Amino acid sequence: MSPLNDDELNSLLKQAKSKPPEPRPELTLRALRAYQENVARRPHWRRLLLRPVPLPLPVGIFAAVLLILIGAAGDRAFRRPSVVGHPPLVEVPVTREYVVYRNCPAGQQESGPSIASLTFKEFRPVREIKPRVVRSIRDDQ
Amino acid sequence: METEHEAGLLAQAASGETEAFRKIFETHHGAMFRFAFRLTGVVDAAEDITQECFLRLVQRPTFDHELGSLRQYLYGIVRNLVRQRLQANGRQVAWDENVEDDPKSAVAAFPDPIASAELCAVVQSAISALPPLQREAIVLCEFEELSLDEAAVVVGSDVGTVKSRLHRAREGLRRRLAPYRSHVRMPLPKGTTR
Repeated sequence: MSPLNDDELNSLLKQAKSKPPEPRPELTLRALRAYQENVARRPHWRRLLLRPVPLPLPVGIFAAVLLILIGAAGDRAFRRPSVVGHPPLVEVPVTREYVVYRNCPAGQQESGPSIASLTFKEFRPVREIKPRVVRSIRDDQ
Repeated sequence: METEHEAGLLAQAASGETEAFRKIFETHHGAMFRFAFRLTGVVDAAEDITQECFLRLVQRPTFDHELGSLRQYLYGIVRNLVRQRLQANGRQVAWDENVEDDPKSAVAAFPDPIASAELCAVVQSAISALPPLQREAIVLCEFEELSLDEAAVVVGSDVGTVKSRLHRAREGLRRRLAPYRSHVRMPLPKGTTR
């Protein structure tokens, strides 16, 4: 089957155009209700906050550059100085304490002589005495 | 001047003035519905898209009257919404490819157009069978009577591209509607009466 020519197609399209589809009347009410719910009932502060402001492009660019410069200056002012003095290191001697735990069964606690029960009887005389004289440095002077 | 007036109305509607919204809606909703219907072929979908289109317009009013008319801008929103809907429905759409036409299957699919309403349905079905980019080109230029320049602004392409899509769309319709040649009412030559 040969395709339609231009005139025939135009005629068919014209006939189709003569009865354009129409929306149902409820569409207007539906759209208005949706508008009321989504846009018109927003609080004033939110509408003001979200309202777009038309701005000429050069002004927008200038404002953006200005903001970047202010941000950079603020960043520099609040940043810590990059040169920090190094404090001298001082080594502090640390005494180490060792705690030694010893197992001491309850039955053996009283086996050894306690300090309070020591007497001189247990001292024994020395066998040999080797006296040694140590001179003071002052004696030589 | 008209577009500046509409831009003012749009600003009012965006700030919550119902009357401004109503004026914009009543001025343009018929055309937007027709456009959505021609692209989708479904009344319910076309109505949903029309409503969504106007809500988007006032919620994100990025319309610039120096770039075109408000109607062109609205056509653009409808176009995007239709596209999103087709993609959301999971349809693999060949946006600009020619589908093999089979006039016999077209005859089987369409009812015999004895009444004007049925002929409209046949033409609508043939339009719906076109690839989306060709479909929007023929709807904008033939049905909504936009110029090629205006249609190019709406679809975001250059005039040459729109012209090419329009040509291919007409080629497709010529083949698809060929079985209905007998229903064509050719205009009579001047001076003759039926």
